[in-house]
Amino acid sequence: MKTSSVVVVRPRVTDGLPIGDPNTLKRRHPTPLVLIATIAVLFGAAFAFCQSASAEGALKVTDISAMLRGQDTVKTQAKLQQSDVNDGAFSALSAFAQGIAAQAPAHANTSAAPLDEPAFAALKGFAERLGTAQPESMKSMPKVAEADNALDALREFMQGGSTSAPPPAASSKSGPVAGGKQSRPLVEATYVGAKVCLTCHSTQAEAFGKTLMGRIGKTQKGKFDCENCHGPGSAHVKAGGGRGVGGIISFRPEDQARTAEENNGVCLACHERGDRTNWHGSTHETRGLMCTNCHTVMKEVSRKNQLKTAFEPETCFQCHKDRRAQMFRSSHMPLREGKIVCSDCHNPHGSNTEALLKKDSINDTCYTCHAEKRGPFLFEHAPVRENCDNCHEPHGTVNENSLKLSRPRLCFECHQFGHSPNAGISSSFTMGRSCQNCHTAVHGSNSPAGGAFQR
Amino acid sequence: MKRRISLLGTYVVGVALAGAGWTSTAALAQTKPSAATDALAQADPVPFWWFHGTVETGGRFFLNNPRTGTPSGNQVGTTVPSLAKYYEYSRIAPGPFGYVNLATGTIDGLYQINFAGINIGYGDQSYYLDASKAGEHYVSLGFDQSPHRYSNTAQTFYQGVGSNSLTLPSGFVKGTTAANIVPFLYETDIGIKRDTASVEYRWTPTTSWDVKADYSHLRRTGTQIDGVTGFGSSAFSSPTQVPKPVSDSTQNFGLNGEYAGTSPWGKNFTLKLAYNGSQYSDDYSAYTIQGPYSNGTISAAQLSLPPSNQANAFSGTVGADLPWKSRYVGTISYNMMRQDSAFIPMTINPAALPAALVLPASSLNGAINTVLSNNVITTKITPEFTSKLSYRYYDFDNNTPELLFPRWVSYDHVTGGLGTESAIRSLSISYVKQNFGEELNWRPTREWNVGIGYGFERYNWTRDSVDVTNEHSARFSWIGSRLPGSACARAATIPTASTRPTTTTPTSLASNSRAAAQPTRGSSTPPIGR
Repeated sequence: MKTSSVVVVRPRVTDGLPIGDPNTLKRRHPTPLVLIATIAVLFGAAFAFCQSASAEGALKVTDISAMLRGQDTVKTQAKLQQSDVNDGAFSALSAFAQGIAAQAPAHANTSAAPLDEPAFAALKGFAERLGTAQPESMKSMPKVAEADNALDALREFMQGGSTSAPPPAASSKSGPVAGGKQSRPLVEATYVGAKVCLTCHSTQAEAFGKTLMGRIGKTQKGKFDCENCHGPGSAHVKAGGGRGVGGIISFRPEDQARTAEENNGVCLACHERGDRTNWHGSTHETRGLMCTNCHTVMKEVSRKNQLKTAFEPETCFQCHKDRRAQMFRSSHMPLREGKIVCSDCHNPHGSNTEALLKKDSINDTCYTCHAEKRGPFLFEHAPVRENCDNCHEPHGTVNENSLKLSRPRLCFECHQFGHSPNAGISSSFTMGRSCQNCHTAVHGSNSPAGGAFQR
Repeated sequence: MKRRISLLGTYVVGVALAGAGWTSTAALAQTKPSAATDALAQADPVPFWWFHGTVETGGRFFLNNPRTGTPSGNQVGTTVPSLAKYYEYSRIAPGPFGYVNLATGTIDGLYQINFAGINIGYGDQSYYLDASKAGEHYVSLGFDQSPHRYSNTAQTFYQGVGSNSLTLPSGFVKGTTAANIVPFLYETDIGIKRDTASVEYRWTPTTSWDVKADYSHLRRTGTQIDGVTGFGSSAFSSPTQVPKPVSDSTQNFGLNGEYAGTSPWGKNFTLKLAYNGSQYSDDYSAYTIQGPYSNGTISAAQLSLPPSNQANAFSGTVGADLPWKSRYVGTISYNMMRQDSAFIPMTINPAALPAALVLPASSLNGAINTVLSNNVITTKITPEFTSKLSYRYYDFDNNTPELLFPRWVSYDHVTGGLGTESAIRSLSISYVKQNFGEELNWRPTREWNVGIGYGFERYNWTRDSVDVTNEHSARFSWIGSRLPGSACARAATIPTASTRPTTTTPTSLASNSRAAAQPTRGSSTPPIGR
């Protein structure tokens, strides 16, 4: 099979690269014996190549040649993803190529590299390009070699290095499996391709295909291959599989082998935008939550957002038991009835406002549905304008209208000089809606006669 | 013998022919299904679309229908239990109901459409339709009905419930005796119904761009409990609960775009620009109620309803990974709230309209602008040790004109200017809230965590009973990260009597002061769990 590998490289020889074209070789070695041997090798190689090239979507010589010339890279890379990875020769070459590529400088110009052996130079050049033929999401995954924290970055900086410098060869052979902690032993692993994964994980793949990411993966080949997120799987395969075996990333919360940050880093490589922009430093991030504490990626459970539960609040109630209890109080918003959900008001990935609220303030959040309270009013009730939560507990209470206290006691929190606070229960000051029997416009009045919020 | 041989030969030949025929038939049979299969395969190629769905239907009737608020005549004084809480956000009515869930899509996953109908036939039914082209276009349509019932045992004698005019029934004799009221009482539901239609669209032309647009229309109809006073012989007598009409619409709409790319220093970088708008429209600016008391001095009273208003918000967010394992996220947002609905008259009682009650303006021209600037820098000092530095600035700038009313009518019962209140001025309270904080967190393992934090909060008030409040807080969290404690100290600067804003409101209301509620000068609170 090595022969076929050589032949795969040979077409590059015909591309006018420095080592010359076949005619030049022919003139240098015109003896019949050499010609016969060459023809035999070519035929053998052609036969071997046809065997592998017969598979649909397999890598072709022209593709490799085009890639070596830097042409149609995207198309070729896509085919690389689709190529039959069961082909041992290609797998070996691919692994070798990735290894070489990892050692090479990030922007090496192979044609200009001063190499002693032309054939090796061609092979190495091809290997470097092949090694970089990874999906973008794979490239943006956490890199072990890069300084993992500010202290390391400072140390590198003081040593004259840079955080973006190429990684040491010893560690760069590993993919993202190694995770972000330097203390973690690195696992030597290479990418084996999705088809190898499907040998054992076809059930999971089928369920994943019904999710949004799975659907995108069907139409954009290679974008959501297994190893893009789970890391290179060769060690996992060699070890015979198993949860977390061979450095494979399981993302399970109970998997203690990786930290939350390491696991989240895989997701954030693509998703650190939109609602997740404020994730770093957010309450849930500092609490050590993982994406998979709330989300499930491999199957479709909820209508949107790949949540672990079909009913979104149940995901939040995994931890927020107090909110769940409040929701079952007599006065509550229609959360348990499924009319609103937690994320209508909160962004669990972090926000600019207290309590992870989506809007700029508590009141702005409430105005989304209660716009009649927004005003501005002619006569403003100061604590109302300041914060709705001064009087209301939106998650549920035992008082009317989700008030924190029953009236008139709530009003007495500020208005100690109200009318007859010690009046009996039959008094119009205390029965019914109490103070609001008369002061009905407590959220503000736009009536010229509403100075006492009674109009 | 020859005949026997001939017969035997004939038999052999016959058997041979039969066997040949049988063989050929079998051979033919072997070939025919193949041809048929091929033809079938040509006629019915693998379907490109898949379909899936469930439909559930049923009917409901009651042998003993629980009370649902259906008018049932005079029930004053009865003790029939209310089912308002049971039917608070739903309404289970006799009749058919159903659930529908349909989905279709292409086998390659590129297109998919989902439709669902939930609680069809009930008062809380909802529908949605999701359609998507995976990785590029996402459209979601929705319609939802949400009732909110406050009472199903309320009784009233007013006609025109739900409208902006509550009138006494014909033949009603004013008075507060049961004989006057009871014959005209009937049950009515107190509650509102929210009908919401919404559409959301998301477009991701490339992996770097993300564009979203949304629109929703919320329609509210129904009644809420309101209170009116002044029908009796004095201002504070005979407060009456009435069903306030609710008939309004809220439209929310937004458009935002986000770009994610690489910064000049080679790190991840996102920029998001967004616009959000909201329009609230109330069908009624006020409603009137006829007085039922025989000793009342007026025939009707008027109560205001929430004014129509608008809000427009613009925001920009930058998130950028920085060198040295740091990340900055900054947001700036500008929100404009406006309200300029025409004032309702000071009173509908012509006798209570002296010349001094001329309004200083026909409408408020209310304007509140808010500015939010939030800045957060997080740094991963070591893999286990992180820092969060934050600063937040929120300016609530109330530019609403302050109007002075030389005289005003607190209740519609006043006559000829007698009893009208003295001057009152509306206040436009503003404030600036600033927060600064630093948090250090050490998490050696997933379960163990030690954190300390410091926070500073400052309020600068304008036209309020407190000028400045400063609050320092410290936060501690330790093992298990579920047992935090905090301590804070708050100090307030209260303006002197000469600088304190005054509304010249009645004495009983003028003391709405947070100065009285927060007299904490340098006090501290003990650590509290949360």
